[in-house]
Amino acid sequence: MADLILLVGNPNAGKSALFNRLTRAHAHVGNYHGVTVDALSKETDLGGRRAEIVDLPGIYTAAGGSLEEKFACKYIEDRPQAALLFVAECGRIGQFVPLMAELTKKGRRCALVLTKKRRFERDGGGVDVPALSALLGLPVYLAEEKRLKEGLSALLSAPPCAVKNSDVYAIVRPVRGGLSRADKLLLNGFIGLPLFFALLLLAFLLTFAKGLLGDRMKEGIEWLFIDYLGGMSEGIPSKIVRSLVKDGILKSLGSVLCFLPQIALLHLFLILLEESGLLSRLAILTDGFFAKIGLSGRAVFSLLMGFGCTAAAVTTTRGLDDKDMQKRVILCLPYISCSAKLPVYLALSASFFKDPFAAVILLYILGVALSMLVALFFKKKTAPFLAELAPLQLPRPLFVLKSLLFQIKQFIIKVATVILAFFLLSWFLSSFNFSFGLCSAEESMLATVCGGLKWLFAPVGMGDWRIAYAALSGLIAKENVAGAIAMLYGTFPYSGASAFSFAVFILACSPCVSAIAATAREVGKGRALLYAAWQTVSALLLSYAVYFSLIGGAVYIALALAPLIGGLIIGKNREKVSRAGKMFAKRLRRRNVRAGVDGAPQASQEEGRARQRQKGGRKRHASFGR
Amino acid sequence: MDMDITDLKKGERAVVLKVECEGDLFDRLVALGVFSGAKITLLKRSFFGHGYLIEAANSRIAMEKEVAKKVRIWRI
Repeated sequence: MADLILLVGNPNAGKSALFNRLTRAHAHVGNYHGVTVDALSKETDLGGRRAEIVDLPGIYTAAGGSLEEKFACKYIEDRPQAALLFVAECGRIGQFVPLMAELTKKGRRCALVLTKKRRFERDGGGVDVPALSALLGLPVYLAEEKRLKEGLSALLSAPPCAVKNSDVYAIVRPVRGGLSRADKLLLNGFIGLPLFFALLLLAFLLTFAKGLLGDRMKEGIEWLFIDYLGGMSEGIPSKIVRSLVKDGILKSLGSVLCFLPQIALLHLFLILLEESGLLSRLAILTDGFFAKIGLSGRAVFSLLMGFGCTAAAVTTTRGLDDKDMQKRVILCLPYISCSAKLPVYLALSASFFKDPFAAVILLYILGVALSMLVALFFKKKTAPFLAELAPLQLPRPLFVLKSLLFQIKQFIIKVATVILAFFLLSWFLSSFNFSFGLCSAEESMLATVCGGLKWLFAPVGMGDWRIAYAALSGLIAKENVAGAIAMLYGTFPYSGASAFSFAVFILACSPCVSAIAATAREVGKGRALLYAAWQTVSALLLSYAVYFSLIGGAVYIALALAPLIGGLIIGKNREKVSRAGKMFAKRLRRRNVRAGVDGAPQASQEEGRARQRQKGGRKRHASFGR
Repeated sequence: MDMDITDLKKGERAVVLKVECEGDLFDRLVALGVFSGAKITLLKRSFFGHGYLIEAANSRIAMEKEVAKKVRIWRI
């Protein structure tokens, strides 16, 4: 049986990075508290001896508060023969000593590894390693040291010892307190906010603005598939195969892959903001303002990117810890008009506004207002804002690259495949009639289906299958709506009120299938489809309301809005019920785990909490005498 | 004299007397270095007066007013 070495330390102390180095593994290392939630173990060779190194979840106290802490403490308790390798940040050594003393009081083989020495010294700290080792009574190493591995094999043959709970500040010089000069500027509202706004604007422009990087790359891919390869496929003799290759496969591939550069760019900016610590500062600066609608600074990044592309923005919500907020952000993202809706607004607005530009501005403002309303309406009690200021540092290129490649891979595998399937389906339905013969759009299967759907738009004065066709093609890509209108009509023949109502419908309806696919990846297929259905139905009702209010008559507005509001209320209550169910299951599970781990079931939740508070107080007295 | 973090002025130091909350929030505060007996410094109050930035256990922690009100302190 191999010797056991358990890695014990605070969350985010660098245990997992150390584990990877010692075992040459690639366990995922995250930048936030709570990544390791299970014991990872791997065997390795230490100076000729086989040893099994186990990476445990981070703990703060031997009493163990959270589920992860309890798990780790029990794991350590159950293996009195295992050696303990303590891992602590240089800056936190003082708070860590009591825990080391507690875990080794009965004598265990142990050693201490200090991490993040560079940052500690940069912030003005200093530590005398040999003196610390003598004071505490166990070998101490620095994480960067080459002799660490030898130290580990020495650990295996060492005698058990107990760490002395002593005051380290006699030999450890603490870091300079207070805010760094950079932070004094960044966290100042008058300087920081404009700076961050400028950064976000820069990111947005680089990704979405015409003629700049993101747009250029998108055009490049479109050109490759649709113009270049599409042109080459003109030579295919069979009409059906040619259509399949040119309008089906190549067009679909091109339309899907052209998302890739912009999604990649957005993720790159997001990772850079996060790794550099800037996102943390942005969140802290803006928390007060956005807390009122239940959003955070981090969520604002995703919402702003929604002006460029809804699907890409949805993928950026991945990092949001608060899953409730993530769902709300995803729900209200489509209302923020993506760049693909712009041609539609322009095409329609000529009919109802003399100045199309003003019409577009109006629509955008309406969209943002709707989005905020939805976010506010579905706001639940969010966790209070409490966060550590992330260190300000230059992003590590390798880490950034790895994260980016991971995101791209995820997009291709999970999202792109779904979109591709839909594109091909849409091509098929719009190129063939029911006898499976190649035909024009007007005679295709899709057109026939739209004949049935046209009644949906009758209340706004446009009971025409072509309107339904245009709307349906918007499901594939919002740009298609403008294209469909141009193809089927030439110029828009209906009244201004109808045109505006239709624009409102496009504004509020479900986003394109790419965004739905991205949503499905984040919150699940069922939910994504539910959101899409809800958005489309409510968009229809909203467009009716707008139309009726435009042609005069408050009664009609009330009639149209009533089912909408009813639907909202039902939706909210359903969410409450399902959430209550989940909370109950969670509480049940926690009670069972507590009973299992402690051996004796807790008398009541109150008692347990009181015990927790007591322990918290008592444990800390040890380090009070500084 | 019942004081909490919201009564501190910029740059003032204090000792935490008691953290008056339970469960997850309590765990998080303790983990970040805010527990009975810990020494903290108020670094700054936020733009909108809604947030507080303190220094505890060699790291800087931001919290909203609701949380700051739960930390009883003694000014030193």
